[in-house]
Amino acid sequence: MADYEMALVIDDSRFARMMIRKAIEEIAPGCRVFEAESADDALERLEQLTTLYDLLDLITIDHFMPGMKGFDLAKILMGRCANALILIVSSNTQDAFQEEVAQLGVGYVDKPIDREKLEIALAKYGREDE
Amino acid sequence: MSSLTDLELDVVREVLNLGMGHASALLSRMARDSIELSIPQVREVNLEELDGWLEETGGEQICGVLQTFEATDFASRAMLLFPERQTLEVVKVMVGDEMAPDDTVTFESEALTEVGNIILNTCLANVAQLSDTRFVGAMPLFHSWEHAKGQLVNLEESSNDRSLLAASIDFGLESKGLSGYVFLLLDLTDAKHLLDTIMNSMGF
Repeated sequence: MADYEMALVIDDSRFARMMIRKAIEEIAPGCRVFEAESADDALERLEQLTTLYDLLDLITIDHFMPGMKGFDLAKILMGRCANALILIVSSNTQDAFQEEVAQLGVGYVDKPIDREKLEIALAKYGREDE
Repeated sequence: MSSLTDLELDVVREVLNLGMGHASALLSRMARDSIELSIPQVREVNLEELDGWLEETGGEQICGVLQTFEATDFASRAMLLFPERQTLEVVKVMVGDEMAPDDTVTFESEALTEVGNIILNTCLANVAQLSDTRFVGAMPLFHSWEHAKGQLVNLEESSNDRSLLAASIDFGLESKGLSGYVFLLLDLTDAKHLLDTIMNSMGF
């Protein structure tokens, strides 16, 4: 079991958020999972509860959302959530896209996300003690 | 008013998103270029409304690829529609200038069927994974839109009022200035069955 305690799931699809939440709760029972349906929604929530910036240890961001794209949100959150592992989640498995994610310096998981895929991503990109 | 719940419409949007996302990886390798995708739109429509929607997209010559698929207790058909000329331009990028003039017509229908096949099968593979169901798909068949429409009308002796679930997504090869769209069509009753199976399988 991973020891993530506070996660933020950002995805415009409610169904996708449900799947990601389920995978996180299976891997890290007891992890508190917040949800946001857009980049603006996520930033608004974080501004309302600024303590989350330090407490979040896992953030999943759908890249392709209405409004601000996942890459741009990831750049903002990388500077504000120093303790969080940031994963870009997308069904876009094109090589060029994955290279962009790698250049950004965050992790990548392809949709649909399930427990196994998330476990692999956490092992690949997560903290060494997991 | 929609007979599907907001969550069910969201699942359909996400399934097309997943299918096109994965298909775009295969197609981008063939095109040696990255493929941009839009956010999918989903609507319940009858054939008349679908015609109107297709007209809104530019009223170009539309073609379709129809595929039947079945599981242990369920069988249905899915149809993919796309603008013929625009999609052929994309196909030409994929194969380069290697098309022989003598068999261009045959080649074009085969190439469009293959593109449809890739997209339909990636969508179906995602539905199968999400619903934990094994589907067997038949060989996809290429049709003009007029013929494809006849196929839709003939399903289950239905009429023009028959409800369909239609999902569309735009795609583009930005660096080559090419763009197009695909429509995924499914009988509404069959779609509801698939959605129930997915939600039960996911435990939602």
